[in-house]
Amino acid sequence: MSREDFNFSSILVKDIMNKALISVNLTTTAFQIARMMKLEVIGAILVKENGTHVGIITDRDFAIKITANNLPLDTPVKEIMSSPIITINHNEPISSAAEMMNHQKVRKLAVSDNGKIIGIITSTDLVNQIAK
Amino acid sequence: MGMSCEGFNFSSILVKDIMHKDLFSVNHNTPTFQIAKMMELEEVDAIFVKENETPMGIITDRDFVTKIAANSLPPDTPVKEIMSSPLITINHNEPISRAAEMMSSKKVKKLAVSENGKIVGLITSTDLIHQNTK
Repeated sequence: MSREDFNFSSILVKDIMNKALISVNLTTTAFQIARMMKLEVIGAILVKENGTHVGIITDRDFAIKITANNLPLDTPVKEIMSSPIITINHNEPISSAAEMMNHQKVRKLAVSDNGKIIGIITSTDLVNQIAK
Repeated sequence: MGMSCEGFNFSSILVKDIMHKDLFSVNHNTPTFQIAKMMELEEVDAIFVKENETPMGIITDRDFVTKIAANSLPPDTPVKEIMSSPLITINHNEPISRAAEMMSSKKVKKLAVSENGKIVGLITSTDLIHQNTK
């Protein structure tokens, strides 16, 4: 992509998405997930059941679900994850990702290709593009 | 806000045009679970922490993961022990393109907005993305 032609319609989700996905299973505890988020410097982790992604947990869930309700840190992720996952196709322009984040009031979207989750795109990824 | 759709760009809109002016703040001794409740009820993800009426720090939803949960701190931990301080600020007259650059380089999603040394607002990555979809 050329710098002159930059705009939010010409860059695709697959061009800037995070491909290194971290997944856990339904019984992983909130504490284990918090450690992973801190070590890997990430804000979203996908939750799998029988090899299929069924939910997502984000840093916001720790504030509004765990701490706000005084849930113990050994709570399994299945009790606090968001499900179903909000997805966007990898071939969509990032302008669509921005619209979807606005509309759904989320900061992270799972990226799909033929029904499979292949990445995550976040509000930070979009801001980094604006800053370029 | 006085911007035309045709003339829209990230250099012509100023931070003060889109910042949040309704600021939430707590005293530095407030227990973190009360802040989590505020975040849930008010649908905000950042709250300023004051000491003697001056904003000294900020707490965001991410702090609940990396500081509270990852370290098994109790929910009654006073916010002053986990807040981020000093504040990262941007002047209210800067263009929002500058806010994007600062968020990117400082690796944060929220900036405190200052005017004559006083905190007058908050601008977030979500606000910048909203502008892009207009």
